[in-house]
Amino acid sequence: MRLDRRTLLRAAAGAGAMSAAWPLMQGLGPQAAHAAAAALGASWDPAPFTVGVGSGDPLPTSVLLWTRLAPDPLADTQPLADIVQVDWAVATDAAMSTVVASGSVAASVLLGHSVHVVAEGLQPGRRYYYRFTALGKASRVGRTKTAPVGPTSLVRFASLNCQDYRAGEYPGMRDLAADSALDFVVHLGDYIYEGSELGTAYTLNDYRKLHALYKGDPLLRDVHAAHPFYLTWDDHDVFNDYSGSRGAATFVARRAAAYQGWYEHMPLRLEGDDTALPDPRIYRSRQWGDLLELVVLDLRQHRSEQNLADGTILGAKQKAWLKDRIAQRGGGWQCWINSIFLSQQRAPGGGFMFTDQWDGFRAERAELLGHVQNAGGPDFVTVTGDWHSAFVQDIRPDFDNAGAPVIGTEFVAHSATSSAYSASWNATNGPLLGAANPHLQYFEGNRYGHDVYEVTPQRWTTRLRVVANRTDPASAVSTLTSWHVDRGRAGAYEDPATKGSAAQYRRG
Amino acid sequence: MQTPNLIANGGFETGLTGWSTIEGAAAVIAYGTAGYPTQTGPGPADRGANFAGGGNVARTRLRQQATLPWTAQIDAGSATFDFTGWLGGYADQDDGARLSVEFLSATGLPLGVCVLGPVTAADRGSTTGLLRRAQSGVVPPGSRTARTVLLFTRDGGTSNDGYADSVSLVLTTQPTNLLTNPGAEAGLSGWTVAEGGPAVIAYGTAGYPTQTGPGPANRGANFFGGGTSARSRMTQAVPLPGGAGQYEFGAYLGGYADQNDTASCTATFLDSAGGSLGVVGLAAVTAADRGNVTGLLRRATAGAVPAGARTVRVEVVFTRAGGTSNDGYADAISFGVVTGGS
Repeated sequence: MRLDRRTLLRAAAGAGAMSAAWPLMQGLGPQAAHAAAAALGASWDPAPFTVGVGSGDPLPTSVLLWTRLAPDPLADTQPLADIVQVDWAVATDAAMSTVVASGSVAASVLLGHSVHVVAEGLQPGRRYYYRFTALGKASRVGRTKTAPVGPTSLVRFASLNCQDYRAGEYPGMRDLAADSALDFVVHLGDYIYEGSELGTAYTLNDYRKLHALYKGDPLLRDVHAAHPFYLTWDDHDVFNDYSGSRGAATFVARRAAAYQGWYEHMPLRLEGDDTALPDPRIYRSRQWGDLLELVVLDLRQHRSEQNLADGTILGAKQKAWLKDRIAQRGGGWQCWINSIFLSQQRAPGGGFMFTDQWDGFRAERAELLGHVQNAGGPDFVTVTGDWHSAFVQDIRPDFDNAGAPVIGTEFVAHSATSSAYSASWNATNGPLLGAANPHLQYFEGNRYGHDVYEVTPQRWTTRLRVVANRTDPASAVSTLTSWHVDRGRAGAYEDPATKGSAAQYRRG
Repeated sequence: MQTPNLIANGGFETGLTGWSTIEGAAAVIAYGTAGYPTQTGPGPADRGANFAGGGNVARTRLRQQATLPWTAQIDAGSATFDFTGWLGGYADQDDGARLSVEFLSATGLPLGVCVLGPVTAADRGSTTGLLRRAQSGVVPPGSRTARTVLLFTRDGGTSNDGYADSVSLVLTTQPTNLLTNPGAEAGLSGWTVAEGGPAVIAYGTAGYPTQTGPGPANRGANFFGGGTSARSRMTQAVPLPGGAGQYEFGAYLGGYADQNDTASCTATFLDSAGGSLGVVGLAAVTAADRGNVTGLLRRATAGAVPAGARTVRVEVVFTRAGGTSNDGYADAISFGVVTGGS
């Protein structure tokens, strides 16, 4: 019987046998690392496309295609030439019989033999299939979709966040991969965890192996192959609670390693005149027809330390850019892809829960939400991760002013696997959080999963999809509850059909 | 064949010329300025007068972008790079400088990246100065530009004491030899005898160069000699490929013991009408050059292919100083070009 990840690792820790359980421990050779990873349930696609395929950042006529050649995914050095030719093709059918775009690209050891190809000349709003070939082998076939243009009646997408490999399995991703009506997935960060007591990543090789281990989960590979992603990152993609502005050389080296490892494993389209690896610019705007604008934020790379009078979570350039996005917003929904808690979160005993969140940058938040208010559109939603629990809350330009208008809704999604507070903590503190934060409508912290969003010109619906058991990759997935925002009327309301579902706080 | 340094003003000897400031404000500092690296502390041997520092801001970024030469060689995967920088900081402070280069496609997509440094205080043993960091590799096919970024970061205090000097990006390639039968392995085929009677001689023939004496590493079985004529001359004309930018012309030339019989080579660039656009030569190897030892030494030169050149005519001249045998020798004659500028 294969033990689940959490049980195995806990047992290994107790037995003092970390290195046998955790393949990233230093000194473990590739063969032993593979065996250890296999014990954790890791497996990979056939070489050289072991870590799968993915697509990202679809625009109306193009999409970014990604893969990485890693015949020995947990090795420090891949058994490959410095340069390997990779051919790619995009077709309109899953059998790849009607190819509409193709080409070749050199996968270089300088980027871990990763491939980022922009497939162009596609039609807006339609599904495509793609495949890579290299070294006489073909990858699995991935599926993607381009963004529509003009009037759009529906978009369905999902968010994922906080998927600590050690903390559980990914049954929610099975659910998402099978959802053929989904248009895309957004990832809110904490895609990996740098490790903790089980071993910590510092170098580029460490981060490469860490990503390769995560991609050793077939359900994660499946969801990448099934849908295009829009990604941002959070702290654990480097290490806990880091601030990108820190200047110590030791930190700068580690951050560069983590950022490069992240880029090499993600379907990210680089753009802008101020992007340069290993520090990619990842804040960007993406449009889904006239219905939805995704404003993808980078809340780590450019931030200052928290709780400074002139502190910034965005950095000057991103802030100016975001103000421009707010001012230039179109007639559809504007959704911020926001890795960490935007709304104020007073702690029950006073002060703030975490000032690593936007609460540590209050002046900048007030300035920006003032801009949102002045822009005049009520159809403003943020999709948030990081907290490992679900929240629904009103966004106000001044959270301490009960008379301030509601200008939008923040949906904080459950984590995929990363551990939340205990059930008893949630039961005790849910009502206290509600009392301390009048803008909080809903809190549920005992479950794991993801959110699915169904957006029409008339209504935004967020469905909280939860897994029955995060330690079981075959676990059932169900909708815990749904929340709606009607177009033109800021503020969310819970679907009457699921209003009786479990929660640790609901505003009366 | 190597390019010059593709980084303009990599040593900051002309201030910040060539660099664009993306963030912050860099300082160009003279070695020996009080409180900074000195002329004698850890740093490049040819450090010049100046280096760059991060100024008085927390982060400073400098950038420059270079168009890459040799597109055909790059796309064939036969161009390599050497990327080097001297990076450092002050005493036990962990301010630092990080140097990176991206190889970008024609559409600006990064096809490869190298990150050097930052050099930490621990790396420097808490000594003020700069240490060398370098990486080499194959330029990713499809690369058209190289974007270099220097990031200086401050760990604390007022001064950003990340330092950088002697930033260098050099490409190397081995141009394909355009000459047929450059080493006499196929007799005289490919060569036209213009004068006298050149000979093909096997290494190890009694009284001639051997397989182990001075000569090409991969010398094959044969080399060319002057025969028994006082002067022998052979030529070979080859068309230049379109877009030929730079040439490399080389040969192993030699003679016998203390005799001053010699071989010399020229390459003449011809236009489409056959008119000469210029001549470059490889000087004869004298007995003194050889230390009176029988054998062949390498001569080489490189430069830009003259505009309008369509053909190159290579000529080898064997000259006898005395006696019967013309003991001027030649082997491994090469004329190669790379495309895409210098």
